[in-house]
Amino acid sequence: MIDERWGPDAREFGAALRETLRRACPPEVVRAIEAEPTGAAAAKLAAGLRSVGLDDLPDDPELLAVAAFELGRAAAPSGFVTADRPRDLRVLLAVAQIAGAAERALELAIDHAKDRRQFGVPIGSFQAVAHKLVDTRIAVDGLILLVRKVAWTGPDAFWSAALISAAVPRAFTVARTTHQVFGGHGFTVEADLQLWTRRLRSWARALPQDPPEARIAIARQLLTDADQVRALWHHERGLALPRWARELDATGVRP
Amino acid sequence: MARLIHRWSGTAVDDVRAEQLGELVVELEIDRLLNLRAAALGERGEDAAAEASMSKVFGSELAQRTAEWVEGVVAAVSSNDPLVADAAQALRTSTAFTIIGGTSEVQRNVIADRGLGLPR
Repeated sequence: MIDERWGPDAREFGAALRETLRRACPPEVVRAIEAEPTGAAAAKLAAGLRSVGLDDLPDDPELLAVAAFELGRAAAPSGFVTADRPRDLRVLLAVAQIAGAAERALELAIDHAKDRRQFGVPIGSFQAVAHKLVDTRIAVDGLILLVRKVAWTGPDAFWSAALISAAVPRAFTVARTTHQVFGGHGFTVEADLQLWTRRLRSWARALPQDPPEARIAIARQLLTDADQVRALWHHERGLALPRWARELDATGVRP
Repeated sequence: MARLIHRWSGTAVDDVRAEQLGELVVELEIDRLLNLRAAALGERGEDAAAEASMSKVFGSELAQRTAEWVEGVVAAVSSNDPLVADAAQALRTSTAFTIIGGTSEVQRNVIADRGLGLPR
């Protein structure tokens, strides 16, 4: 059976990094660094990240991806994700960072829906609000699972395209629905939500392909190399054309 | 979908259809991961109520989208082609997917309650 979680080492490092970021990178620090990118706050955060071992991570996609996820979750201003690495690894980290930011923005919106009361009840008790959050939860969970899968199997051009196809619409969906749930409260610069939603949108735009390009590349690869479909329907790793599909279709007329 | 890919492989497929195919393949893979997650949680004896419902909502709605699309793109081929007949059958069957075993609306209530902890 598969394990859908991060691997044990990644889980341990992710937890340590999250704890460091919780203390060293609250929204006030993000704002201070935004105001002065090379100031004292930035130097202090960089030192904190060094102390948890961010600069000494081995070249393991899972560890790097969990780090990018946690940095995104904290909206931490850091050059870690954009550092010079092979292209597909860079895409994995960029999407992991988007997934982290999406996770946090969604958590903020869910907490707000529990606290904020209108018409005498918490707004999260209205199905119109709850179902929007549920759909966003499903979208974000799907992206996180895809990030973990690619971190585990190792990034390549095919899966980079898959990550981009999934991440971009999800980043925009999360930004849109979380602002909707916050109503007027999330719209101001003083509200913390924008720290994540601005990044979600700009990080999604900074990916090296746009979703149509990525999807066409995926389809072209599947259509020219039927064996690539192997990993899609494979139990352990996902995505070769199953035998039954070829056999069932063997009687079909090619157009 | 696998049979459609097999059918189309080596033929000229325009960019519009290629894009739709690529998107659905990625979403089907994500659906598979949501399914496997619910199964893995269950295997470890953890509570998977919300995760199972997420997989059901996403999978059944994606199945309808996929069936609609496949039926649309193969319909023009030929009337006595088994793939055309099976695609039409899949489209009819998929209508039930968002209803059987708890409608998508009920599943979303379960996820809101058990997964997000939203007040009822």
